[in-house]
Amino acid sequence: MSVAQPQPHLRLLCEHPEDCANRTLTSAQRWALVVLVVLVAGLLAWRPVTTLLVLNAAAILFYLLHIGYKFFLVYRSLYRPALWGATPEELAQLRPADLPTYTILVPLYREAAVVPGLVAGLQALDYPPEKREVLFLVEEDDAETREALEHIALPLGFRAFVVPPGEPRTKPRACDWGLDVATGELLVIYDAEDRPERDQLRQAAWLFAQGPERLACVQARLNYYNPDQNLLTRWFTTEYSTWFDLYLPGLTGLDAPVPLGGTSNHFRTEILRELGGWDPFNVTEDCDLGVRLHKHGYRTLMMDSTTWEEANGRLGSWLRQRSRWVKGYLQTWLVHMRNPGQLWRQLGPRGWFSFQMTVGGSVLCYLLNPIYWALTVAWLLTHHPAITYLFPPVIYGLGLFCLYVGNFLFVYMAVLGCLYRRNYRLVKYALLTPLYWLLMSWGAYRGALQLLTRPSYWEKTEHGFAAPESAESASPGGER
Amino acid sequence: MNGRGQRLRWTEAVLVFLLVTGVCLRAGYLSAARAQVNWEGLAAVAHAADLWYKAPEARLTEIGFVQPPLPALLASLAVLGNPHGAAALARPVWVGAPLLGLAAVLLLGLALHGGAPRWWAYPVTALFALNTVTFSLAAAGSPALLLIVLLLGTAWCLDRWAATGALRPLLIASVLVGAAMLTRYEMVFWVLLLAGLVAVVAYRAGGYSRLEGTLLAFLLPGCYLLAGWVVACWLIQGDPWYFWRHTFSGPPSGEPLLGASVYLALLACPLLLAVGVWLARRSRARAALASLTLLFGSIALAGLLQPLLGRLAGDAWSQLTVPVAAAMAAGYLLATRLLTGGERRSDRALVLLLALLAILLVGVATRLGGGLPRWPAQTWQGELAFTDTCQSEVAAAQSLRTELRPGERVLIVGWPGFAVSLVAGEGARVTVIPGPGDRALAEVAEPYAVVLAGWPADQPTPLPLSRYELRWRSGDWACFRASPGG
Repeated sequence: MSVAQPQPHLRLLCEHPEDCANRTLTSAQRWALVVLVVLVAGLLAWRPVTTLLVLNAAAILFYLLHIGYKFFLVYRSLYRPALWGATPEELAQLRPADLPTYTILVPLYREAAVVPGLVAGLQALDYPPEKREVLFLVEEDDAETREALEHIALPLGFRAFVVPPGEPRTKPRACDWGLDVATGELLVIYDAEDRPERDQLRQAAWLFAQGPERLACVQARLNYYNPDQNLLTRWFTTEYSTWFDLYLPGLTGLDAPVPLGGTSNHFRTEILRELGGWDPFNVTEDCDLGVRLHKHGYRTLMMDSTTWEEANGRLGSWLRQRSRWVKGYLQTWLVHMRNPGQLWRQLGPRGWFSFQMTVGGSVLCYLLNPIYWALTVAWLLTHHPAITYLFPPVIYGLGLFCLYVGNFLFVYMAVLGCLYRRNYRLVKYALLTPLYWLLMSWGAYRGALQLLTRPSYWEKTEHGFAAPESAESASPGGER
Repeated sequence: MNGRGQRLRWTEAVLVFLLVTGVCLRAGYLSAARAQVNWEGLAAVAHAADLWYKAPEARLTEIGFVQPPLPALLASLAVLGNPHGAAALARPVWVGAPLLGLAAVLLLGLALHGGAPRWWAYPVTALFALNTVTFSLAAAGSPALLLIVLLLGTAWCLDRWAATGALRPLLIASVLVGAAMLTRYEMVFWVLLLAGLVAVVAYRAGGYSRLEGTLLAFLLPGCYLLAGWVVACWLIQGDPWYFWRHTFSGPPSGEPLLGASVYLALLACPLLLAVGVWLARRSRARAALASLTLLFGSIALAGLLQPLLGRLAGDAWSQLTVPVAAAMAAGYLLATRLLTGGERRSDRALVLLLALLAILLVGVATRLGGGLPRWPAQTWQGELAFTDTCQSEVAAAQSLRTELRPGERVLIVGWPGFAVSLVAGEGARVTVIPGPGDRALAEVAEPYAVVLAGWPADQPTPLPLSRYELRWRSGDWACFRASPGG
């Protein structure tokens, strides 16, 4: 008698329900939240000033840890860059017969216009066609993209796969269906607007062959080919340069959980299946998968190869994208914190701390920033004694340190990101990143609110406003 | 780093550090036992003691703006346990000796990384660390040593940056130059010089865009530190440029630092100008050797010229002679490392030429009225240059401790009152003002039980001490106590 298999996108829910974000909060978490809210409300009513003082001290302690950890990661990346890659000679020694089969998943939704360029770009990748399978994952109701794919002569190994309708309507759901039919030993995801470096698949194959035991994922660096479109894309490029060139290599160097980027993550297909694929309910399934890999004892490495993407240059669209990321990070944090003790045992103390700082901490920082900016402005304007009372000498000293040194360090890390990526012309814009933080906080609050109302709603990022040709002139990066 | 460079091993770094620090500590203690001190070094320690022990709780805002903050912050380590009595006089060497050890390690590393052979790097390092000028300054705890360490550190980092293109050394260098500015405000000129050098290298490597990005990254920490200082000065003093004005209001009033630096450059380091152009077309290894020779030579020459500069430009400026000389030599080293390339050639002719030029320069400096302040054997036995006796202050401090009753406050007027305060160890009860002036008169109007005033015994007191009666005299210090009826 055969047992009915769950639909591919429900595999994680069926096999590892504890890792699935189909519920935002478990009942235990709900109770803990209620108790916490009641406790804080009670304390605020009973001893309002002391309670605020303690909360303030906790927030400042968090800031100190967050700043210190982020700077440590960047400094470590500069000191011991954890970017892996083969030399051209080593790549040349790879014989086509020895290369593993590769599946490239490309989820598409209403992106008919980019199909010809996308096909040409993927065809240009340096990998034997007979070992390369490209799956365009198209939603059933997206007739326009389906037609575009039908009207183009797809090269050998390229095919469209229609994802059956269903909920939730997310990219990871489509990827799960793709994973179900993938035949490659290795698998990678690219977005429609991605322009990976030509030898990226070979680089990844080499790394999987030469890399450490239990290597399950190789993440390429992401960057943008249109930084000069406007101020927003300049800031965004600065942020990406710091994140993918300095923070993430710092995390892999520490063997800490890596919040993967949305695309260009290369996997061993079997391990991905073993883990249940992507979580279709999580809107940053990449980040979640990075943590799950680490929980199961697998390793992730950063590859010294770049995939060029299109930076979101429209404020509204950028805000929607940022909201989704923040919402997804919150989902990821809540899912993995369902059992903090078990997470501690699975990740180890260092991994646990790193998870708190990179996943929960990043969001908390965005949410706290406006409160402290408002407090600073209010104090400068009014010198109100209530604010003074919240900052007794030691807290004041530490708070001042966060304000003066912490903010500077974050700006300086953005500057270093630009220099590392050899985007020298962006350095002056990196000096203005505190304004960008305002936008990030705006997006964070929007995302946090949306988590309450539409947790698995996927706000699609609009692309196609910048020419991908500019990727040719983009900088390779790698300055230490 | 170029292929010829050698690595400084951890063991040699530790051994050199321990050896130099140990020798310097011994000399510093011997000097303190004779009550011989360098006022600048002792002032930094007294400043730190005020910072931590003046108020019931340490208040960093007490650091003030007239003196740059970093020497006092560093000297905080030297005032652990609130020292007093003659033991306090030995505390400056706690700072100076490790800094000299560190400077020696930095120089040795710089030499080895720059391609100098060990048989050359070690003697140069020894000459740098043990020559009477730097050794005396270190053993007496002068903040000049902090400046030298920062400058050498910057030179090493920029050298590494130029050789490898790595960002980390640039990051550290930018922090170090910021720290240098908060050690001596005048170092802003040195930073501008370095920025020019960084700009040239960056422009050569990648045109204007690289120049712009690299320069911004290099100057950002320093500018930010300085901007923070200006804002703090504005908020606390009500005048953002208070510290800057004060720095340039001392002697020589009409002569800016730039003039003094050029003067120094022309006199102490003419080799930098002449040989620099010549070396710019030669190999890096040769440039490193020449630069190290110059580093030692310029510091020795600075010692030779210090008395002359002190006479011409005033003591305040002449105190900068050694760090500025070190800075120029380190800058020269950097410039040659950054701007030159090519094959290694024989060093003999160059070393000979430099030796001849150095001898010539010593001769000229001696004729101009300069001279080494001490002989090495004397210096290593604790007879340090750039020191004065403070026996009078020690005696006054001891008497003051006996004089003071519980709960009483004392005003010390006169220079160096900070030394009396430090040795007395009564920081919480003492107010020190450097000289009788309007502020001194106002302070005396407050109810101080005891006033200790320093001025020659044969001159009438410039203070309104009619309500006070003279209790005792100790050297130039006179102690007054408020009369019961006053």
